[in-house]
Amino acid sequence: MFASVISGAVCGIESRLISVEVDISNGLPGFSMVGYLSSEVKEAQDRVRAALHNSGIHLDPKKITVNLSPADIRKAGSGFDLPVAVAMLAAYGRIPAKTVEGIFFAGELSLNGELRGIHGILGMVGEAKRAGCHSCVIPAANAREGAVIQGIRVYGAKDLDGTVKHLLGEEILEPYTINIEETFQNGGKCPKEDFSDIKGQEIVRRAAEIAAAGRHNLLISGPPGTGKSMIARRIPSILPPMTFDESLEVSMIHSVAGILPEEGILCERPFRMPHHTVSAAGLAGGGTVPRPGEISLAHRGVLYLDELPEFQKETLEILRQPLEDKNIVITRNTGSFVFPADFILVASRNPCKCGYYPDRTRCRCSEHEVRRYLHRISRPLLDRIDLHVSAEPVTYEELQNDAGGESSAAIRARVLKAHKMQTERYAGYKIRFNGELPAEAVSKYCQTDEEGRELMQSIFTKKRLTARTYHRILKVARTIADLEGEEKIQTKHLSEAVCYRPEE
Amino acid sequence: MDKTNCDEIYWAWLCGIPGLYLPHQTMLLNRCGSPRAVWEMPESGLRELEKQGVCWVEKVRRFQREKTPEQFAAALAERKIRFVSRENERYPKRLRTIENAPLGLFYKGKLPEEDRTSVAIVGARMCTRYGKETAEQIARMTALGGGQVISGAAYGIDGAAQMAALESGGLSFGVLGCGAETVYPRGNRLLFERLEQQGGILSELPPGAAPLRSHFPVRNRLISGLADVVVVVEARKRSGSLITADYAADQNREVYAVPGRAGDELSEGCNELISQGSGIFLSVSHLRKNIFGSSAEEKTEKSAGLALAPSEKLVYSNLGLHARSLYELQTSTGLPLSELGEILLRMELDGLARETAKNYYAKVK
Repeated sequence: MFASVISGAVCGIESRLISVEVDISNGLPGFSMVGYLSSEVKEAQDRVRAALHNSGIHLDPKKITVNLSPADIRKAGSGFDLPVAVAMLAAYGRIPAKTVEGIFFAGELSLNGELRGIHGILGMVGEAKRAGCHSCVIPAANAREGAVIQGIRVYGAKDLDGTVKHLLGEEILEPYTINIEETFQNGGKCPKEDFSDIKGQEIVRRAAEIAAAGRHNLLISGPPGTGKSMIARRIPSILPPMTFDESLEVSMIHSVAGILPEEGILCERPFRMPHHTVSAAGLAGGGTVPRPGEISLAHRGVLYLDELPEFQKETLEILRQPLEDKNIVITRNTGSFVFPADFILVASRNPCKCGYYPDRTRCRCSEHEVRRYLHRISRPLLDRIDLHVSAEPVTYEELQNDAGGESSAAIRARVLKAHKMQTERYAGYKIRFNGELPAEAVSKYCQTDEEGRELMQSIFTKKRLTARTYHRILKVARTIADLEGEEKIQTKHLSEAVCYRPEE
Repeated sequence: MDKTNCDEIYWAWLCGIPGLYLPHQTMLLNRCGSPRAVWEMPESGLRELEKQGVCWVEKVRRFQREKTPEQFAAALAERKIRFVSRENERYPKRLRTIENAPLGLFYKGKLPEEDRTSVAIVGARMCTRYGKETAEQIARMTALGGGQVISGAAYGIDGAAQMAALESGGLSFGVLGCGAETVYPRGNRLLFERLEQQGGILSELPPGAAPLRSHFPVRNRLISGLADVVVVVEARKRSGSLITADYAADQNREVYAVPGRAGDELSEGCNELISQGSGIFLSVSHLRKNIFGSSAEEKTEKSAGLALAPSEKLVYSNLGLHARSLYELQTSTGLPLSELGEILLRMELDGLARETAKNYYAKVK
């Protein structure tokens, strides 16, 4: 007897539907699984056998062959337990083959027959819906995540027994539904960290606003305890809220990584802050079957690298290409995967190893040590960061000042306006934001008035700028002008942009 | 090599013996009578020395075998290192008067000029911005007044002062604690290159001598010796700059110390010098008067503030001779960043302010 059910596998961040075929034949009893499987998928046979037995289902000893097709995709993960079990029952004739048609199955079985949650459900259910499945049976733990996809019935099953009863029509499960609009709205609204918590640090705060408005990368230098991380953490709150499509896209990535919040959908822009011991694969994504790294988890949000010089040099160099291309291509022997990585890079560093340079009364580093510390970050990487600011120690008066600064909402309003201007300006061009402006297009899009041109010329010679720095100042000035709704860059915009240039 | 003095190559050879210092050289000279006699000292003479318990004879013997005075002179020329001995009339006059003057000097570039006022500016390697800027101001004043700056070409105060003097078109001389061809510290390579062109690099040690810890205190007697005035900018309690100041006092040089706040570790040494009776640095113009006399022209700074708009005046009044950060300026003026940046930039272009480091601004005098 033969039967097949539909399941899915994660490839990169995309999901592919997999058909799980089971054939039962006479002969020497045995269980073999084929179809380019990783070891955890092969182990399914033991889990399935025990789970069936412990759910009170006894099957005759036969020759069982399981094939997962298409056979050229590497299958990994534990989500094939349930489809294999269901397909076996259908092949044994315990469940009518007709009833499993058009149903997507995924889930891990424990030996007593309970269903456990798996990663990547969101993408799989989305793919099942696209392929025309009318419903899906997934672990109850993942039901909320699956229900985010509209237009397909999502059943969250607790155990194998419940699944069988549902399929036989003995005890039909309730489809899991959520009000997606409401969830999305509420998620965006829930209380979060606000810029009004920050005291002082006007310059860094302003730089954060510019970074958000033009999607520039930002480097904050400053002694410990000056609120570098606090400010970085609040940057998502001044970025425009995610659209539903963006939210779904980001949730898909987080689902694959298994870190989706309970609501089943990510409503706020992600903020990722990997520790400086992160490995290259952890940052960029990797593994034999590549999984998204931190830069992809920060897609559409902020990647914050605290203590930038402490990161492994090789790890940091990985960032160079994704910062340009907004995605990363990872090639392994199982294939090539493209992970999106469109994020704002915010980095912080101490001015020296002890953190107090140039305050020589406290700093104990030698000139050489200071220089070596700062030179750990390579020039090509620094060249991709437009805004360089330093955070100053907070004074007592500022600490005592309860008023705090501007709220995130007020800043966000200006950022939104600047985004709108950029959308209009770059309509039909390959980029969307000032931060992405390539050098050759700077002169076209960053037009200054006559006075500004003269100023730029004198700055160039006076401050001994390089061509690179010159372009960066213009790009940042463009964003500052956008924040004020000005079409032409004026001298005041340029003069402010000069303050954010990198130290040569 | 100097043609007028045919003994010069023997002097160079004597000073070039690796591992021998002034007392050893003097002892050899006293025994043999002339540097040429040292070179020609026979094996029997050396053995006799050994018998008397002199442990460094092997160094002389080895150098005798290794290089003839002519070869050594050629090797120096190849490395563009020149030599001047105590017998030579070009030997700095200032050094003739000091105790333990070296037998000769190896140098690249030029020797300090006799008729220019020499100011030694010394201080801590790990200095504050205040110290660095003060050193730069003094160096600039010296250069513009026609003087020359002597120092140790180290990080911090020394290097900053010398660089500032060179940048204002003045002369500067670095006295090293290693061979004249060694760039130490390596990070000051640019300074060394400029010193060679616009001044000189001096050392009493032969080429190839390593920058050993013990070389530096001894070297300091030359810094003060080559100077007329020694200014100590920042020094901790136990600092090499204080050794220089001690030498300066012994050599009858004028010593000035830049005062600091009581309790600042980096000023403890300077304040102690002042308490011991050294001159106090009050301001650049005060020092200029003391060094160059009142005839030196003084620029008026009053006229600058006249044509400024109110907000510009506000910013200008908040600027000092020592740089303040953009953040401090913003807090004290209360102006928005875009306006403040614009004003500072304009004042910089008009020559009223200067940016000493990124986002640090000071008044221009």
